[in-house]
Amino acid sequence: MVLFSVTVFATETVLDKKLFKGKVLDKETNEPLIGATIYVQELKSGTATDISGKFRIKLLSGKYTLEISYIGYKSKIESIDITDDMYKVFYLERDSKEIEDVLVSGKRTDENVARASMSVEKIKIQQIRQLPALMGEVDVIKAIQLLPGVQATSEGSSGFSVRGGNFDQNLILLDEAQIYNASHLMGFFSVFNNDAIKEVELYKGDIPAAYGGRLASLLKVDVAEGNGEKFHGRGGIGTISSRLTLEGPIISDKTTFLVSGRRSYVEVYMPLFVKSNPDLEGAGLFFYDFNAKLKHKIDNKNIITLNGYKGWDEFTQRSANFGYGNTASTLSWMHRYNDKILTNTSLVYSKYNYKTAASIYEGESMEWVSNLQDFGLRIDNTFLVNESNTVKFGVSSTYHKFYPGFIKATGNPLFSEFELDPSSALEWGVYASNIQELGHRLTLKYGLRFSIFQNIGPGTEYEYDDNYQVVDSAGVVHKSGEVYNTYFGIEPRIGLVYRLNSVSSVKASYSRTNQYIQLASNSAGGTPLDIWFSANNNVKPQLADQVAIGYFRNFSINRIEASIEGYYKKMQNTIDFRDHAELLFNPHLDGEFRIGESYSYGAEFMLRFNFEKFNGWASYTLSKTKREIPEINNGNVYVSPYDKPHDISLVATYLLNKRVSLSATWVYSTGNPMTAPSGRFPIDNVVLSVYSDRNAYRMPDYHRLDVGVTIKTKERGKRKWNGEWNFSLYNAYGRHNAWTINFIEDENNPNKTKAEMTYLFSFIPSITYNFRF
Amino acid sequence: MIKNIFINIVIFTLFTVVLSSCTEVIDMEFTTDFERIVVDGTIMDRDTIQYVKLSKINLNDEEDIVLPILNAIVVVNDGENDIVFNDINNNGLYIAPKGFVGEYGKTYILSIAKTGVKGIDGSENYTASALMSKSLTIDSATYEFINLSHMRMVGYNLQCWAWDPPVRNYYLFKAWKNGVHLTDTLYELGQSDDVIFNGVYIGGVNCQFLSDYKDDEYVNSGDTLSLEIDNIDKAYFDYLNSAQKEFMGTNPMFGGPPANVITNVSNGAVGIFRVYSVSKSSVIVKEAIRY
Repeated sequence: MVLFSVTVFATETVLDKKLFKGKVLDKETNEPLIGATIYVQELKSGTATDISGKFRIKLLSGKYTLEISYIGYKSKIESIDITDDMYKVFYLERDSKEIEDVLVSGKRTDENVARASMSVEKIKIQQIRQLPALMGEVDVIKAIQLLPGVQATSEGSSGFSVRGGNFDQNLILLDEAQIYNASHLMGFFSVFNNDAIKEVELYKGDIPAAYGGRLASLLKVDVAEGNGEKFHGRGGIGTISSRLTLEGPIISDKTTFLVSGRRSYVEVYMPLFVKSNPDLEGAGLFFYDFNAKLKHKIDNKNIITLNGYKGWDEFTQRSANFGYGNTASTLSWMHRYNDKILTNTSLVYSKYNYKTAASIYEGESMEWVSNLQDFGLRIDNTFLVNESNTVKFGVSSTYHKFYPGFIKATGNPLFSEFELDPSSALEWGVYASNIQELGHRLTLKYGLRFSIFQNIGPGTEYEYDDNYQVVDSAGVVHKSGEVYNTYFGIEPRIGLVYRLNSVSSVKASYSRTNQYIQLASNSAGGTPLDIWFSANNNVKPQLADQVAIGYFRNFSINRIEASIEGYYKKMQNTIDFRDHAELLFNPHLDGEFRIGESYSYGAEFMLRFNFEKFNGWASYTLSKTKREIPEINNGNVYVSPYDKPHDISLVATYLLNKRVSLSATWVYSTGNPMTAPSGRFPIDNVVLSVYSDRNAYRMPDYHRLDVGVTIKTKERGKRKWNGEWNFSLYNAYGRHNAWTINFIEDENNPNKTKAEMTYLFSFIPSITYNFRF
Repeated sequence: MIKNIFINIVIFTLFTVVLSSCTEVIDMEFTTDFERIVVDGTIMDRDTIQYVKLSKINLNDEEDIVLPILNAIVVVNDGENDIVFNDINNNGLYIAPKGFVGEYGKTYILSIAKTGVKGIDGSENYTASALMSKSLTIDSATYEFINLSHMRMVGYNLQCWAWDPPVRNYYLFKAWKNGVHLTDTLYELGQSDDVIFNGVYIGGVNCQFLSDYKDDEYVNSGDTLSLEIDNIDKAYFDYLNSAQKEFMGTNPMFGGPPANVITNVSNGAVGIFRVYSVSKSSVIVKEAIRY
C-alpha cells in the first residue's frame, strides 16, 4: 500500500487574528454547498467552502461586510463584527432564475491565485453558451480549444491536443464514465449536449492522483442535476439540430430527474448537395444524443445518482451505411459518515462501437463491427483530517474488453468471416493524496498513484522479429481469465502554492502519468474507425513526467486574472506508426508500431476578464513538441504532428444591455506540420513523389474570427416562457484555412509540383432559437 | 484486397456524405534535398526481356524530372553465376543476355556500381535482392458481366479458379485482351495476399475488371480475355500498396503522413526490383452483353 510521511514544518503564529469558521448550506435542504464563496469586501479577498460546506478564514478584529455566493443561488450580503473566534452558518436560497443568467456574474474570488492546483482550466457552461459556434452548435470541446495550451487537431475537429500531447492522451470523463470518441459528424461537433452539462474542467498537467491512465490531460464533464424545486424545460432549435431538456422533482424534492435529447437533421439539406455531387443521391446522415440523470437523496448522509448517456451517428449511402456511437452510464452512491469523511462509490459502464454494412455486388454483402467496453468500479474518499489537511484516497478498477473487428461476408466465394483477436485487460489505480496548508502562505499538495495493468485472457500474444515480422502467426493463445502480462506504475503528483500576498502567488508542480491504452490512428484528428489497443508484451506503457511552474496575479478586485505558466514534459515509450502503416483490420497490429521518446515544452500566458458587462480572455501559448523514434525519419528528431509554436486565442463577450449580448472569438496558430515532396520520378506509367523529412514543412498559418449576437425576447410580466435568438457567423472574414494539402502535377509543366490545399469552410452563418420555461 | 475495398467504401461513404469542400492552389516553396537514383528492374520466369532501368532524379525540375544513368555496372547474381546486364542502346536500360530466364526457388541479388550518384552511406553502390516464388496453376479463367451504373462500374469481371498453395503468397493480377496488356499502369494493377484464403480453393474470385467506360477495355463478342497472375514477393507487394496509396493521394482523416514508396533497393534509392513467376489463363467471350 501507499505510505507517505507528513512533516509539519512549523506552526504559523497568527498574532491577533481571530478564526472565523462556519458553513454554507442550502436553505431548504440543509445540504452543504461545496465551493460556495465567502468574499470579504473590505479585504477584497475571500475563501471557498470545502466538501462539507465548511469554510475558515482568519480575520483581524473589526467589522466586515461578507458576500456569500454560490452558482444557482441568490447571493447574500451580511455584516459581521469579529471580536473573538466565531462560528456562523449561512443559508442560501436557490435562485429559480439560475439558468436565465446570461453571464456568469463576475467571479470575484481569488480562486485563480489561491487554488492548490495549477494547469487547470474551468469554464462555466453559461459562458460557453455565449460564444459564437460553428453552425450554431454550442460545444464545450470547441470552447476548450480556445484555452492556452490546448489546440484543435485540425479545422473543425473535436479532437484536441493538450501541451503537445496526442488527442488519445486525454482522459474524457462524463460523470466518471470514459468517452472514447467524443465526436459527432466526423468531429465537427462533440458528444456533449450543452443543455445537459453543468461544468467542464480541464487538467493540463497536475492531474489529481484520483485519476490516471492518460498522459496529457483530464477533461471532466459533469452532467447537470435536475431542479429540485419545480419542473423546468429548456431547449433550442438550430440550423442543423434541435435540443430539449426537461428537469424537475419526482414526487418530492428528494428525487430529481433530468432528461435531455438532441438530434441533428443535416439530411434535410442533402438535396442541395446532390446537384453538384451525384454521388450523394440517396445519401443521409444524422446523429443524436440522449442524457438522463436521476438523483435521489435518501437522507442527509446518502445520495444516489444514476447517469446515462447514449449517442449515435449514422451515415447512409446507396450501397453502404456506417454508424458509430458511445454509451456511458454511472451509478454512484455518496455517503457521508460524518462531517469529516465522505465516500463516493461508483459503478461505471462505457462502450464505444461502430458497425457498417456494404453491398458491392448483387447477392454479396459484408458487415463489419468493432467495439470496446469498460466495466468499472471506483471508491473515492475524502477525509478532512483537520483544518489544514484534506486527505483523499481511493481505488479504481476497470475491466476493458476490446473487440477490435469482425467482418462477416455473405455470398463471397472466398471467405465468410474474419475476426481480429479479442482481448481484455484490467486497469487498477490505488491512490492517496493530501492538501496541506502550512501557514497562510504555503499550501502543499502531494499524492501518489499506484497503477497496475494486466492483460487477461482470452487473448493471443505474438512475437515479432527485428524486421517487425510476426515470428509465429498462430501466436501464444491464453485461456480465459489467465493473467499473462502485468505492468506497474508509480505515479507521484506533487504541487505547491506560495501566496506572495492577497493577489499573487507562485505555483509549481510535478506529475508522472502512465498510459496503458491508446488509439491506432493514422490521422492527426482521429476517425470513428480507429481502434483502441492496450499495452502488451510488445507495447510498453507510455510514461510522462511533467514539471510546471507558474505565477498568478489578480488585478482590479479579482476581476482580472493573469497567469504565466511554463512546463516541460518528457514522454517515454511514445508510439508512432511506420510509414504506410496498416492500422485497420491488421491481425498483427503491433508490427506497425515504432517506439521512441518525445518531449514538449512551452509557456502559456493567460489574461481573463470578469467584469459586469464584459468578460472573456486573451491567451498566448509558445510551445515546441518533438519526437525521436529510431526507425522513423532515419532516427532524426522530428516535430510532432501537434507542434504549433504560436497559438493565440481572444475571446470576448459584451453585454450591450439587458437583452442583447455580443461575442467574438479570434484564433491564430502556426500551420500544422506536414511532409512535402522533394522530387518526382516516373515508374509503372505514373509519376510518384519522393518526400522530405517527416513533418519538415508547415501548412499556412491558421486564423479565424467568429462573431455572434444573442438577443433575448422581451420579458412580459410573469410569463414563464423565455426565449433568445442567437446569430453566429463562423469564419467571419472567410479565411480559407488549409485542412489538407495535396501535391499535384502542374498542367503546364508536368515536371513541376503544385500544392493544392483543401479547405472546409468559408464563412458559415447560423441561427439558433433557445428557450426556457 | 477485399478488406481494402471494404474500407474504401466506408471512407467513400463518409466523405461523400460529410464533405463538400473546396480546393485552391497555394504558393509553397519546395527544395529538392539530394540526388537519388531510380531503379526499375524486372526478372520473370518467361523468356522475355529481363531489364534494369537506371535513372536519377533531376535536381533542376524545370527540365526532365529524371536523367538516365549511363556507364553503370549492373550485375545480377542467381546464387551460382553473375549475369551482367548491359546498356546496349546507351539510354540507361540495362538488359540481360538473351536466354536468361528466372527460375523458381532462386534468390536474385542485384548489384549496381559506378552510378555517379552517392547514396545515404556515401558510396555510389546499390543492391537489392528478391526470391522467385513458384507460379500458381490456374485451372481456368471465367468472366462475368456486371452493371452497377450508379457506381460507374459497368463491364466484365475476370475471375480465377485455382488452388492456393498452403504457404504465404502474394499475387499480382493483370488483364489482357486479344494479346494486349490492359493493366500496365500502376493504378490498374491489382494485388492481394492470401491471408484470408490460404490453402483453399479459389473458386471464381474477381481478380480484374474491364470497364466499359474505357475504350481499350471495352469487350466485344469473340474477344479473348486473359488473366495473368504473378506470384510476387512481399517487397514488391508492399511497393505496390504504398505506391498506389501515394499515387491516389492522402488526406489527414485517413491517410497518415505521406511517406516514400517502399523499395527493396538499398542506400536511399527509389523504385523496385521485381522478381516473379507468371501464370496465365484465357477465355473467349461468346456473346458480349450490352447494357
